[in-house]
Order: sequence, then structure tokens, then C-alpha cells
Amino acid sequence: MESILRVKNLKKYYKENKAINGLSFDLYKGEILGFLGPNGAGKSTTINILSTILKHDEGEIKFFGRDIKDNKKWIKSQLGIVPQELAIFEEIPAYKNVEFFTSLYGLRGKELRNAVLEALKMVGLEDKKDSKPLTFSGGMKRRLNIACAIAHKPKILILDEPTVGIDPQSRNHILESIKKLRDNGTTIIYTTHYMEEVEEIADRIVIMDSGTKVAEGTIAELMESYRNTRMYKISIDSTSLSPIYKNKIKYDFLYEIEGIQKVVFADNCFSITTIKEIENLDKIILSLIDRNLKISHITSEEGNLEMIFLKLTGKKLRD
Amino acid sequence: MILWTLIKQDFRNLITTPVIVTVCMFYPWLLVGMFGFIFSSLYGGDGVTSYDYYGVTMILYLIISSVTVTPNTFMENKLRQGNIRIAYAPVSKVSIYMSKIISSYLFVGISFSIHMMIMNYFKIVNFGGDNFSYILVLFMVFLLFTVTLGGAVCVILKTEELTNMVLSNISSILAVLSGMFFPVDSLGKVVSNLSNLSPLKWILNSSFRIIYDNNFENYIAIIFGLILLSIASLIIMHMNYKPEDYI
Repeated sequence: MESILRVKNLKKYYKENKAINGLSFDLYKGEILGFLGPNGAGKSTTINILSTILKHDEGEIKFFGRDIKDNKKWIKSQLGIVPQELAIFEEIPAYKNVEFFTSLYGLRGKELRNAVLEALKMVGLEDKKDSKPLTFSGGMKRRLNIACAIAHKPKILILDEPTVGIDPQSRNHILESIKKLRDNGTTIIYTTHYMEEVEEIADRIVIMDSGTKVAEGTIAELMESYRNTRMYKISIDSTSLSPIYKNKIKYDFLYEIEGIQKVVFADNCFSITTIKEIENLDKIILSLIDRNLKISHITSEEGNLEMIFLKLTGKKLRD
Repeated sequence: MILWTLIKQDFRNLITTPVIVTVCMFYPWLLVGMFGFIFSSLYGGDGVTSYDYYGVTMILYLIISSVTVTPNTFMENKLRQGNIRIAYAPVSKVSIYMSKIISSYLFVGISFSIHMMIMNYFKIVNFGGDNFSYILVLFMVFLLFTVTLGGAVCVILKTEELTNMVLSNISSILAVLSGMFFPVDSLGKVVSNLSNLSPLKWILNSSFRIIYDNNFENYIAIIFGLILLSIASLIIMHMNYKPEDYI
């Protein structure tokens, strides 16, 4: 496959803090690359660097073989960006929004009109083209946000959590639109907090944590690497949780049990990654009961992306 | 072409901002009418009415208050969102900030010019009669300075609240010191000396000299000084404006 974006050893510092620390990956033509990472992993910083808005400190970025440093304007013309925040003017009609932003890419006249209408149709807002975004639901605004980024037909579309806080219907519409764009030849970088979205649309995944890449591959490849693991989710009755906070009891004791690889505690729930062949659930339960922790619910999962993510980063995706 | 597209959009944004529309459309008449009426008994002896005096001073006051218009086009919450996407487009940073300066200048300049022309034509306010065009040029150059200064301060401070607070306070202090609301010479020598340092007072004095004495002393120097200060503000803006600060 042809690599149209190559990122090598990317570094970005904010004073002492390394926001991006040696990130490398490729983006191949026609794919949807899922970008996953907990908050603070460096996803948005990476996207701002790729969109040429933010300067990087070290490393190399090449779009279509051209270095980002010397070809900013040209690279910008090849990109469509859907930022996390809505980037639209709420006081002017949807059509005028898309028309204005698309005209900044040099489109004029009939070509511009057609492009705007096509983009609005793609996101299902053609009926609302004369309405102001002020009157739109959150989901409709998000769809308009996407329309503004795709009307000039970018070769690469970068979406930074485009479905945050919207209704399932709008989310489905957005995901379908993204798949359609991919099928029409657009290459896509997609960051999200929703694991199921990545599983649904991404061809490959890059998992980031603390400014660096911790895993990369297709979902099948990542699953294969972790096919011998299982995750128990053990919910704890909140009335029994006070010792954990008051006495600062950590859950290192769980690592003493054979087979356990990773333990994360969040939202009153232990997420425990363990080797599948080793039956250790009884020991885990006994260990928790010994510490006066009341178990309210237990589930067992095998081979899903969330488990892989948890194991790699030690955090839940929405942390 | 891109710059023109940006200017049109920024102009459209200004038109849909109620506060700015109110200030530009109604405040000149409101302030001139109000101050003119309240102090009407104190004027009129030598042919200068309170409306003549407060017509000039209040338009100047509104021009210096326009220092907050440019920051609004950069950082007002509802506009900030759209500005983010402009930064992602293949548009130079010069086009981005220049469009905001030019649109602010055009919007405020056109509205105040129309008010001044109407007030002058119908003799509601004496803006110089035959010398009206000189007064208009002086005021519009002063406006150029205020919109560029607003832009320079906002790219340095980077937050709307702080920028508005700083600029509003500075413009109010300069306005009070200039004596446009009430004479400050009677407040003591220190205040009087400070008053002479207010550029607004220089412009005010120059305006009245042109209107009533046909005296153009310091006119060119003030115009030239304001243009130089505007250029300095633009240079500060160019050096400090970073699109990523608004993301």
C-alpha cells in the first residue's frame, strides 16, 4: 500500500513536558486509521501538528513525500480537519457556512455550489441548508462541522472525536458518511473515545499513551497478539469502598495472583486482564472478599479492543 | 481574493453581533442627544451649542471605545469557533488578521462617517462646515489607530475578557483625562499636566481649532503620528499573532 503520510520520531515539548515523544506511524492511501489514546495521550497535539497549525520540535512529517516544514500551504489544501470543538459560525445558515469555508480552498462559482450541496447531502443536512446552526441539535452541528471539512474534497480527512456528545442517530449517520468518504477514496485519520466506533470503521489502529505509540496494526493483528488474554470486570459495592480511599490500599495484592497481567480500578470497577489458560477467578474473588470488598457484579470478556487498550495503557479509554 | 472573502465574512459577523451594531448605529445619536440636552443651558453664548461640543467629543469617545471591536472579531465566543477553521485553511496569517482589522475599520468607519455626515448636513452638530472632510479624515485615521491597537493588544493578551478589561479602562482613562466629559484643568496642576499627555486631547483640540478657527496647526503631525502608531500596532500584531493560540 502507498504511504501518503509518514511521521518519524515526532517530538513536541511544552517546556519540560513532552507532549509527543518519538511518535512514528504511516498513513496508507484509502484507509481509515483509528487513533486511540486516553486523555493527555497527545492525540490532539498530534492532529494540530499534522494540520500544520502547531510546530513540532523534532522529527519528520512528510505528506505525499513533501516535508511539512516547506509545504505548509500546499499540505493545508490537501487536508480536511474536523476539530473536537465545533468550528462553524452559528449565526449564518448552514449553506453559507460550508460555502465560506470551502471558498477558502479556491473553489468558485458552480464548482463551489455543487461542492457545498454535495457535502451537505453527504451529512444529511441538505434540507436544513438555509437554517442557522443556532437552531440545530448537537448532532446536526457536528454533521455541519464535518460538511465544512469535506466540501473541498480533501485527500486526507482528520477527525478529532467528531461524535462526542451526540445522539445515536447522528452518530450512525456520521459513521456511515465516513465510510462512504473512504469508499470514495478519501484517506481518514479518526480519533475517538468510543471503542465500538473504532471497531466498526477503522482499518488500522494506532494506540497512543503518554505521547508515544504503544501499539499499531489492524484490529485482527492486535487481537491476535492478545488472544491468550481475558478480562474480568468486577464491580464493587460502593458502600464497601471506603478502605481503598481512606487507607490508600492499593490493589497490588491482585498482582500476586498467578496469571494477572494488568489491573485498573475506575468507576467502582476492577478491570483485570489475565492469561486465559490460568483459572484464577476464585482466587481473585477470595482476595477481594478478604479485604471486605463486596462484589456486586462480575463479567468476563475475551479478545476485544478495550481489553487491549487497557492492557497497553493501564487506563480506560475515557479516563 | 481570499482576503476579500475573509473581510466579507468578518463584516457579516460584525453585523450579526448585537452589541457592536447597537454601539455603531444608535450610540452616536444617544450620546450626542443625551449630553447635548443635559448641558444645553451651559452652551450657546458664542454660537457653539452643547450639541456641537458633545457631537465632536462623543464621536471621538465612541471611536476610542471601538478599540474593543477588533478583539471581538478574534475572540468573541461564537466567532472563535469559526476562526479555528479559518486557521486550518490554506490562508496566510497576514490575511487572517488583516481581514479582521479591515472589516472592523470598514464597519465602524462607515457607520460613524454616515452619522457625522447626517449630523453635519442637517446642522445638528458643527463638524466644520467646509472643513468637514478634514475632520472626517482626522477621525478616520484615529479610528485606524484604535482598531489596530485593539488587534495588537488582543494578540498579546490572548483572552477576550482581559483584553476588553484592559482596553476599556485605558480608553476610559484617556477619555476622562482629555476633558471631553467635563473640564479637568480645575482638578489641579497634576491632572492638568496629565491631561496634556492624553493623545485624545490633542485630537480634540486640533478638531476644535479646525472647526472654529480654520486653524490646521499640528493637523498633519497628528495624522502622521497616528499612522505611525497604527503601523507599529500592525508590526506588533504580525510578530505576535499565532493561529494556534486560538485553538
